[in-house]
Amino acid sequence: MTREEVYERLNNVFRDVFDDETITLTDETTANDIEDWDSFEHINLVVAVQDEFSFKIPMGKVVSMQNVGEMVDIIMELGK
Amino acid sequence: MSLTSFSFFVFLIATVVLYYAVPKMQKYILLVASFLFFLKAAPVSVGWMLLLMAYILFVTYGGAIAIEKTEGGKRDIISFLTILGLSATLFVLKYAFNMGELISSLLALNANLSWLDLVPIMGLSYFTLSAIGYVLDVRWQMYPAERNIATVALFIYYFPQVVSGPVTRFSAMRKQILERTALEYDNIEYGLRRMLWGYFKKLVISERFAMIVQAVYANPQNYGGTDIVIATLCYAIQLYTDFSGCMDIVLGTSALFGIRLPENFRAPFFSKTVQEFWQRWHITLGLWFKDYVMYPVQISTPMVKLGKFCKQQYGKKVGKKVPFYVSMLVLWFLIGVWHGCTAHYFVASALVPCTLLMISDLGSSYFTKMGQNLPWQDNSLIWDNVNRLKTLLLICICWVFVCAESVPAGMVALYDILTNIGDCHMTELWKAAHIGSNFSVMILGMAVLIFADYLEDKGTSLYEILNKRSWWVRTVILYVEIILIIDKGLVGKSEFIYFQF
Repeated sequence: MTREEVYERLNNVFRDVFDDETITLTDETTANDIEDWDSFEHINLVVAVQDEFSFKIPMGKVVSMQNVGEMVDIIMELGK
Repeated sequence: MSLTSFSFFVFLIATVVLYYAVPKMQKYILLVASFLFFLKAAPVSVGWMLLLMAYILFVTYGGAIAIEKTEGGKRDIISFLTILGLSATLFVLKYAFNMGELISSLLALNANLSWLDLVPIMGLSYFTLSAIGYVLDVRWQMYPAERNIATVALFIYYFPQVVSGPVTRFSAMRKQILERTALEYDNIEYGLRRMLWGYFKKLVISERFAMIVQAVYANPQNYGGTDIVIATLCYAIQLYTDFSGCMDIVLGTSALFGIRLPENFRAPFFSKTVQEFWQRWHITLGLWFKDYVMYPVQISTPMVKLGKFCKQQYGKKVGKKVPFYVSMLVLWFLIGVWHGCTAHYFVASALVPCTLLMISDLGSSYFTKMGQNLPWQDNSLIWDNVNRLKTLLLICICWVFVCAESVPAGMVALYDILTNIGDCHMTELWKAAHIGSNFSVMILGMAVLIFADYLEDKGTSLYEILNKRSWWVRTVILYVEIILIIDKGLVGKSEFIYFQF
């Protein structure tokens, strides 16, 4: 899985969770850039990402990830 | 040893002098000071206290290393046992400390079982949470288990934070504990100013508003609905200046050693919604429960399955909300239990806040529509302040139960507010609470407090503003503050409210 493929699938997940078709993610995208991304939606997002990529993200990573770039790194590491 | 006592100052000065005089031993000086502080404040024998401290330390330290060294099911069992070992201590010492009395009254025994009674331990609720957080972080492989037992001991028992928090994280504390700190003017100045601000809040503001609360709630039958509303609003000020004042003293004390602790408040009464209030009040406790309780519950397999089921049956929105509400119930239940084993504390710290949050979340679209029809909606200044007042009044429902000290008495007080709001006995209250002689100080205190919180709400602080002023302005303000505390401070009236948790 290339980084571009991860981004493509992740964009769809974000658009579905936040009901916003205009979302386009970059490495630097954080919760501050997406209006509805609060602590409640963060977990919905994690659950949706787990569903999309068919693996479980460890709790430590769920709590500590700071931006989309880190989320992509985690997905690529777990998807190896 | 109270934070407002003379012996605390002597102890603090001696520790600061030693800390900077022997830089190589800083960690051990803080550790010994923390043990001394703890043992001095212990309500039980030194031997029993040392045994308890050693038990918590060894379970935390050993448990974390064992978790790191094992894998799979074995690791899960060790994690479970370690957390059980810590939380059971918290539960037993906090809720079953009068076990002898409980057993004899439950079984209607005549025997004297007082030898079974334990004594509530100061700060136990705070440092146990920090210890459990550390164990869970290691379990979640966020960082390796610490091999130096003195570092873990200082993390758990670091004396400024041990009495009332803030609840700290090992990841943020480790580097600060291990780094040698050089004596810096900025740290000392910031620490002392922060401490002074805390003493000002506690001794000048909080104690005065406490008199109004005590006057009304000691004899609520003598007062009307308006008086109860006034007294509850005064309790909001009393509790906030007491707890946040305590945090200022704690954070200031810690800054003297160059160790910065996390903030516990961010101008909570400037919150426009109930949700926002709980993100600005007792911040470290809320974050702890969010990270270590709510997230794990929400992401657990049964909860994910429940979400999927609800999504298939009732749509996407319900599929998201149901697991959220279930995990919120778990979170607030545990926060209620954490606050103590009395029914009124459970109602005030769990049942009412959780209900308010759920109602405001479920009805958010309805409330927004309702707001759009109001005439002043276009004026953001009026609308923002209306929302702030609404949030404060809603939060005050929780505190009615704390002030009334029982659920039935709280219900009666709420009933009085609703049915007897026109009834006001201001003249009697004015005399009973000695407001006349304190009025100007209360107004001055509130003005400074509102200004400080206004700045904090805008993303700056009193310290930042003062730092831009010349040294003589800062010195004059510092002396005025000291004189006000000495002249107007009500020393020795009461202990900090949150010490009891």
